[in-house]
Amino acid sequence: MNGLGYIIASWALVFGSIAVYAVRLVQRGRMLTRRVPSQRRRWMSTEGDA
Amino acid sequence: MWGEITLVTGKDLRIERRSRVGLTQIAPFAVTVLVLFGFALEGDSATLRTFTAGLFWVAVVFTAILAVQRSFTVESVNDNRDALRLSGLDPIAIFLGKAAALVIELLVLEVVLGCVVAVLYGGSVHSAGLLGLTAVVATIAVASAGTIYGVLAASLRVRETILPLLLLPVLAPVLIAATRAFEDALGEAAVNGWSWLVLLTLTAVVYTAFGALAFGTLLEES
Amino acid sequence: MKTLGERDELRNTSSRGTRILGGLSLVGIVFMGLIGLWWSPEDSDMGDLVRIMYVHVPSAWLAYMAFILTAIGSAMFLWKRSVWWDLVAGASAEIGVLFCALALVTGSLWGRPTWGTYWRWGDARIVTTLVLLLMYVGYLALRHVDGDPTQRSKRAAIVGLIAAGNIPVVRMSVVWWSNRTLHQKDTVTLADTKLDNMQLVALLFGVAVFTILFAWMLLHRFRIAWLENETEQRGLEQALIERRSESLVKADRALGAAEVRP
Repeated sequence: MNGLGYIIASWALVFGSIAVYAVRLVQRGRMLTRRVPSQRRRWMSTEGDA
Repeated sequence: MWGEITLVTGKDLRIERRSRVGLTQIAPFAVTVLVLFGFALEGDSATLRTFTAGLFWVAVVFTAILAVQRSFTVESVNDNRDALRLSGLDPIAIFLGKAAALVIELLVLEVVLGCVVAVLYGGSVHSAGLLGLTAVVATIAVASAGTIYGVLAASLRVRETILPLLLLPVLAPVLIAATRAFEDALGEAAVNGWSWLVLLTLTAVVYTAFGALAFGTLLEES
Repeated sequence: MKTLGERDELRNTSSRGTRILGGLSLVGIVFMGLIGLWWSPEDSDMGDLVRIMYVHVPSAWLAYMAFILTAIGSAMFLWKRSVWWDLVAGASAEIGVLFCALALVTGSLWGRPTWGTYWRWGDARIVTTLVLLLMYVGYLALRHVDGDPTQRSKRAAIVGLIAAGNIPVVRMSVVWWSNRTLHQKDTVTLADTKLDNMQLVALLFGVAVFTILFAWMLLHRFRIAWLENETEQRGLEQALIERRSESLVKADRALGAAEVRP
């Protein structure tokens, strides 16, 4: 396999970054959900009345 | 409309003439940048001559940031921004007026820089028409983009740092096109400068039109 | 309509929709690895380096998709003046910047063994993408600046639109500037017979998986942005109530302290 190092580096970097970002997203979501009362988590509402 | 534009332009130019910030601070800064390029690229070598067009436009773009900041600093004192907003002037006229003032200031600056470049870097002009037209059109593009981002950043506490970050990437196509057209006009590269001028014109038209439309939205309070 | 927020067990930003998308993404990523690294053959020209393309192309695809959504969100915000669209634009831009950076880095990692250098200024596509990345880094920086929320949304929307509108201009100027484009011609075209079936599958499968992944990330990021918006507003309301209850003198002193500027 030629350029094995480059291939491994590319794949590791892409999926490593995705994993880190995904974990951070879930963590931030958990932290913020605790701070907002449930009746105000209506993020699916499409109106700009928030 | 025309009267309103000249009113705003006249106001900005009068402030500049009286304060002399442009003459005593901005122009010397631009010359300093050109001198530093000379040091960085080994003065008397052919390198400097080859890259004259690019260095000139980098200096202009850097200096334009200062000019844009200056243009909106004068609006931020004494709540001038509110006065401008409540003046009843058409926002499009305010935008065009301020951009026109910037164009004139930058063109004066470019003439000064051009003379400095001619002395320090050497070189000769092959097509004065292309040179002049490119300078005017590129300056319109720079001033329009600068005026949009200037008003956008003006009310922010981080305006000094965010303005270059927002403005410079947007000006990248202008820098490329103006440099190429200048290279042709100076006879330094075998490219078709006139087709670059077309691209430059397109950019200038788009930035000016978009700026005129967006300016009102940016000026109004929430 | 029963909204997600009415469910009491909700303790994070996931929902049934995101769990399905997340599961699909995970399975998809596993198969991307199997197809891209194992089942697909090496390329006749590029050799095994073609395997970098299987993550590079989907990353670039995702980045551009995200930036287009940012532009749509920006335009819709200016039209409807709805916070919802502003949050969509911001959430999308953050994901876009991440994948734009990944596309550039994987492109460089491919370029090093192929061209001998990490970077080629002669390549219009990577130069355009770099300028694009810088524009959206500026966009994100602008979104992080404190201030009146409506003003902030408006500024962001206009910058988002300018950035998107600038893509063709940057692209055209860079193409002309570089004269010689060293990049691969668009890899997936019907007329292109060079790609082996399995290689085409690997590319298209990666693009599909990253599209699902984008949806998953966007939903989570959007909900986070929504919650941040809520906490910010609650903070403002709370501050107003406290402000009112304080004496005028105290309030003035607090105001003076808060507004110390350089």
